[in-house]
Amino acid sequence: MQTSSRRLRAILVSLLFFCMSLNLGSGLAELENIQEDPPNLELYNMVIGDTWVFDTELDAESLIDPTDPEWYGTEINQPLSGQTTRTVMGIKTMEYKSENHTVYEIKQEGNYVGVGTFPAPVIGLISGTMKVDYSSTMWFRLSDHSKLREVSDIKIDLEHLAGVEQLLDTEVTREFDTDAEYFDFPTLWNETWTQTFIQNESWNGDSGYFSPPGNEKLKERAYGYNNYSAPPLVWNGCEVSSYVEQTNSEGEPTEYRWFCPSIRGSLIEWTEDIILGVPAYSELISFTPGVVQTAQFVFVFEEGFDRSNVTLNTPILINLKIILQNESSLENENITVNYLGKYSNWTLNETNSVLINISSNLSKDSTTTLYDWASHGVVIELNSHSIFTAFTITLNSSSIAEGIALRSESLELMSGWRDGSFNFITIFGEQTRW
Amino acid sequence: MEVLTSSQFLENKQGGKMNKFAILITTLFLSILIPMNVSGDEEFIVNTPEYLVGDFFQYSGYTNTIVNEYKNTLQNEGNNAEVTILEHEELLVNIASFEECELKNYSGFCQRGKTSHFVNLSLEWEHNTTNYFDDQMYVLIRTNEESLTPQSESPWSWTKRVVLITSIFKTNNNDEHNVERRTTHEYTTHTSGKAPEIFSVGDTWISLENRELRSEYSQRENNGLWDKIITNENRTITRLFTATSFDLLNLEESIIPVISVIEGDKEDGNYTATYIDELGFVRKIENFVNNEISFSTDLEEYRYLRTPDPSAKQTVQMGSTCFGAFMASSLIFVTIVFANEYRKQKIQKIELGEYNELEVRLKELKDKKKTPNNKENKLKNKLRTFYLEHNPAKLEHLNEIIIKMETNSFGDTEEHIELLNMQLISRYGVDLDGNKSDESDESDLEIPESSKKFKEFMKSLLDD
Repeated sequence: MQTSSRRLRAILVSLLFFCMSLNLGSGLAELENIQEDPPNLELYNMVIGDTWVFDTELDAESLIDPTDPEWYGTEINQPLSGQTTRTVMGIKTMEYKSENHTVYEIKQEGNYVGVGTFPAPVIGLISGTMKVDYSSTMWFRLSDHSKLREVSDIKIDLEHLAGVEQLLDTEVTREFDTDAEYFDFPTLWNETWTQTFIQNESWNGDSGYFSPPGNEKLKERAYGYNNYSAPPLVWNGCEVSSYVEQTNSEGEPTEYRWFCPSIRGSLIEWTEDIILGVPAYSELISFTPGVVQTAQFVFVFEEGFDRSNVTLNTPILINLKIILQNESSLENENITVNYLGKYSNWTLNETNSVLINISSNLSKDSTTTLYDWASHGVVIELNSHSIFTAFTITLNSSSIAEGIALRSESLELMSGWRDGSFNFITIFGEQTRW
Repeated sequence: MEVLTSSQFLENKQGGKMNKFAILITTLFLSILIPMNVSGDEEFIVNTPEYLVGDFFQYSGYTNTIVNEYKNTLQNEGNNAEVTILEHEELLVNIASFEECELKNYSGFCQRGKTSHFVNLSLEWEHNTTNYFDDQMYVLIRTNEESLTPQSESPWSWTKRVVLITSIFKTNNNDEHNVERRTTHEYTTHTSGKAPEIFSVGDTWISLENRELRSEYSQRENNGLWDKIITNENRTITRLFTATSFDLLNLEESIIPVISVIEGDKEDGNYTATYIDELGFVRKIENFVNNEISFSTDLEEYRYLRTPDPSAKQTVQMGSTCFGAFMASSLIFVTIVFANEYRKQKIQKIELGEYNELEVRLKELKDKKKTPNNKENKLKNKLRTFYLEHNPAKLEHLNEIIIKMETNSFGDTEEHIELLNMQLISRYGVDLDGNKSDESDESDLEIPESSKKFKEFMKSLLDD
């Protein structure tokens, strides 16, 4: 009896496991079936007063060039840690390359602390606490969130037993020869894109132990959006987020962002160069939204118009209606439209509406993709209420296909030759090393 | 010897008094216009250069080679583009730094050399025969090489060479595009067998190189991500070198004594001839394929901060002027000798011994020219040593400084040396003899007018 009862128990347990495994399997299958394609990332609007606070670690070791004899003995084994606060201070007009753009003015501040050992004149190596005081103002264009300018104050002190040694106290200004755009809105799922820009950096103040960098830094960057999953940080409303990675042209990761629309920004960021070439890792610890605008913008485009496929140099007709929360009349109120660095003015009628007519134009953007010729943002402002919104249009052209064909042809043209002259210089190189 | 043989041959054919003289002079001229075998068994001392940061060597010839190669490739592909050189930077070898390095089991100081070359070409096709905007394309070819050479005895070395070709063009819509191909070879080499410092014509030696080679072939479009193919391999290269002759190399405005060393097999017509001067610099390289020259490069300009002779100029043109002047005076001398001999002997046959004598006298002249200028005063000597140790970059201007000093009779007295020592201590904390001192006393000494001028002159130099 005992044997048969054991057998029965074993069969029951096996059946149970079998059922559980079936269940698990079917559950997964169901999940796969219902899973939709990850979302495209659309241009989003930040709000004045939006404030994000991050826990930040600075990889300050990268400050030091180990081959530089002036830094012999320097040790910064642990990253400096602290908090970074980012706030949308306002929305302004900024002149950039002889054009006028509507921009977010964003303030970013942080204090970071860590242990370090530095060589000091006369007294030699000194150990102590490194204190970094950082404050930066950045201007991001509303139409595509590209950074146009950045001015930062950075002060680094080393507190040690004998006192305080100032390592640096300077203002760093960064400007870009073309807009430094991280997201190529609208960012399509699985899209890759590239961007090249020159970062100009100038220092003003006491550079202390550091040497100001060379004036111009060429940045060739490639981006990809092919990860939509649970980020390493749990956050309400951001259980699944979009991971957008930036690499250099060699394919080495340089930055990434876990983007979540419900917090209007990043949950987690790895920044290649927050300041002085120092990489920073930041995790969101709080988000305080600014006061949300109390207006609804309703756009009606002409029939057949597709924002994601606009022909070059064609008129774009937009019927805009603005509805305020209190439903008050906006008749004769002025609307400003900013497109491709130019402003145009329009007046609302008695139904709080206006027909806006702008040209799609022929302007290429700074990001290169295989999918679009250019994508540009249109910024609309209700002047009297300082209410803004923005949306994107994507320009397409036969030139994309033509470009692909010609690039292929051009690569072919040089393929038979690339090693030809190489042999000569090989001979030359070897012979010169007598 | 070649001179004599050709003269006899010509004399037998043509004869005649005036003809002989003219032929002799012409032959002498000709003999200096072509690389001339001066002596078959002369021992040639090739110094090992001791470079300083800032030394450089610029070669011509590479631009033409790669442009011709590019044209040939286009032609072979049936592409009839017209190729024009828009701009170019000649091949430049730089001594970039001396730094600590680790190469396999070697750990110590290394010399980092950098080589670069650039050419910008324009390709144009017949109107409306392509889809390129204006039927035009620009091709930029950039070559960069870096090498690490141990400063002490070691068989290891490291080289990384990158050739980047960029094509830039526009579509008919005026959109600019670019594509790039990049070839990178990085290798660590173990070399057994080195060229001897002293060798004679006829000497041969073998160099065995074992290379760990990493090659990367990449391409990309519009500054995007590089698409790469990487290979790793080990290569063994055996090279046979033969010092074939001691020559006088005729460069554009100069004649330089060199030894030519052949790598490869001259018999089968595939070889490289390298012409090396006594300082150890490669003056010229010629590469032959099936006995036809496929590549030729000449040293055009250089800066060698440790130039042993302070009166030597540091460009090929200037340096060669001295040698050219020597050759001109030699020629005048030879002409006079020949004229006298001609008068004496009239139609007598020229004896072999006379040519030998001439050659000896030429050699004497050359040796005399090689002897350093003993008149160089003590201050100049010390100044050069000082700059070498404390401010090598200044060596570049040493010749200029010395000329100015000579013009003004500076530096001939002990007083001048004392004055300069005070200035150097004040500025560098060390005097010409290497004596260190933290104190300086440049106070108001009563010095004569000439010394005041000297003091101001040196101050202006130090301030510069």
